[in-house]
Amino acid sequence: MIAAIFFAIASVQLCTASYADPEDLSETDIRVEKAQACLTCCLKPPSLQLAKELGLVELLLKLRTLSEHEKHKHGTAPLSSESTSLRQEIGEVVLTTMLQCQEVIAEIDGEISEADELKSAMGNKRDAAIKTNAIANIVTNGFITGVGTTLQEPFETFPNSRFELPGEIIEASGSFASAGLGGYALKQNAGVKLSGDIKPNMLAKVFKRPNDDETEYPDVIWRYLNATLPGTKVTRRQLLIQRWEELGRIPPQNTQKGRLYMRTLAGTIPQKNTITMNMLDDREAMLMDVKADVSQIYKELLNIMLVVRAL
Amino acid sequence: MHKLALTVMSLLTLQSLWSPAMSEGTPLVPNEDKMQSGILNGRATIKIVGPLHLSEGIVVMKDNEISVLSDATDSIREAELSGQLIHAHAVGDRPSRIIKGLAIFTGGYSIKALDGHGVNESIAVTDGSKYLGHIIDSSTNLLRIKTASGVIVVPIRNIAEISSPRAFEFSITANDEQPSASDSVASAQNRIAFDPTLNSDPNNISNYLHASTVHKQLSENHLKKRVLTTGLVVTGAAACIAVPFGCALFTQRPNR
Repeated sequence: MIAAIFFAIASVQLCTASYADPEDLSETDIRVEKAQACLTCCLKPPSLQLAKELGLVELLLKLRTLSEHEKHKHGTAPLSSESTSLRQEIGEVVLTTMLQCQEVIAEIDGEISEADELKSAMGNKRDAAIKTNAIANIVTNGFITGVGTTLQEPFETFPNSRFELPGEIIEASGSFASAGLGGYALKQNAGVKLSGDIKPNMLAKVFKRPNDDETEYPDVIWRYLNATLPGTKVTRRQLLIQRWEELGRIPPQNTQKGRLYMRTLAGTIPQKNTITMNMLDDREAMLMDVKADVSQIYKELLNIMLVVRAL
Repeated sequence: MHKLALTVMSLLTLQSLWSPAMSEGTPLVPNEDKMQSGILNGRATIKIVGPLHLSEGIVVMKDNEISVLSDATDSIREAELSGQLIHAHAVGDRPSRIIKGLAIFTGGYSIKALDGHGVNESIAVTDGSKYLGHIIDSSTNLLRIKTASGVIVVPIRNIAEISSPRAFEFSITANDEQPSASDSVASAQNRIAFDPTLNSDPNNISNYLHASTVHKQLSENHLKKRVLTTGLVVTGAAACIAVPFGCALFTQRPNR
């Protein structure tokens, strides 16, 4: 009886050991199995696209045929020179691409910082101007209108109405001046307008406008932005511009107004009284969008390196 | 038949790019190094013009007028650079014929990007004279330069050399192999390159100038303007009170 019970327990354990639950496998193990079975299935479509762009697919396929994952994982036996060389080459390509991304992101960050600094200074000037306007409003609406109203009072010492009409005129002048100052305050609310020379920024190439050495994108980054998204016919760059049009940041690019505003945002035309706080807001938001898109490359590079680790 | 059509199209495309000046009457002799100037028409792709990088730049040439576009969909009116071609001539034999000459830019959205800081432009003429100043305008036959002694008009045929950040020596490599039947693609197989006639200072301070110009505007005090505005406001307020009050004082009291 006892032997039968032991036999039953052992059978159950054996069965569970033979048919292990897939949910018990770690993410790494799952990836190893997938990579050994089908390399392209292991890479997400954007990662596969980037791997093709970087010329890494052939290297990954060669690495897979060497089947040295266990050696690499446990470090028990030295890897073959071919495997080491392949891993080094892939690592160099990935590292270089990462640094190129960093270069672009650093340049974008610099431009965002510059726009922030300008906006802050322009905001301070605007606040000072609005404060002056408020003081002027107190003088006109308060003092002048008050004098006018006072003159209309029926003073007992002045039994005639000689000052009634002048009082009304003064009161009306005060009201008109106050209305004028209020209207001027609305204009001042937009902030000062600055002028500047041609200075292309990282939006210039995105809008297909002339850029310079400092605002150049490395080839791999530019091809990534101009690659069509998997499953669509739209490139990342076109999607960015579409989104900006939908959000109202730029007029439609097929209009002259739209193309002129793009040139202003990109800094590729002389900026004569066109550097405003609203324009800097738009520029900053767009630069952040471009930065976010470029940063996606890190995810694809990570996916590629995880596959390398799995091979 | 297909090959024959392609060959004819290639010849037509190259011919459309280059045609000798009708008034001169002498046909182009491909073996000579020094060619007579002709009239250029056509399109070519461009990547760099001076400090400007163009990812999908197109150069459009029509009757020796040149326009540099950022994108093929831009119109000539929205050219980044526009100007004149000077002394265009062909060098070499087919299929490796190269068209060379001078291009001087005087207009366009990005013209100011070519300007160097504090650089004097110069034009050397065939009679040995040299003019220093700033090139302001160009046409098919004439170039205008503003010198210290005034605006001087120089006939293009008399120009021996130009040294300016806006002037470039161009060379067009015409591609005779035209695999596509589409006009726009076939013509864009030609590539144009620009070499500067004036080497710019590697320590370019234009970026610093831009930043300092903007910061200067922010830190400007406009003291005179503020004093004037305050004076006007105070005067206006005083007048609003004083004028009606004064009129009331000096008018006759109404009889009741």
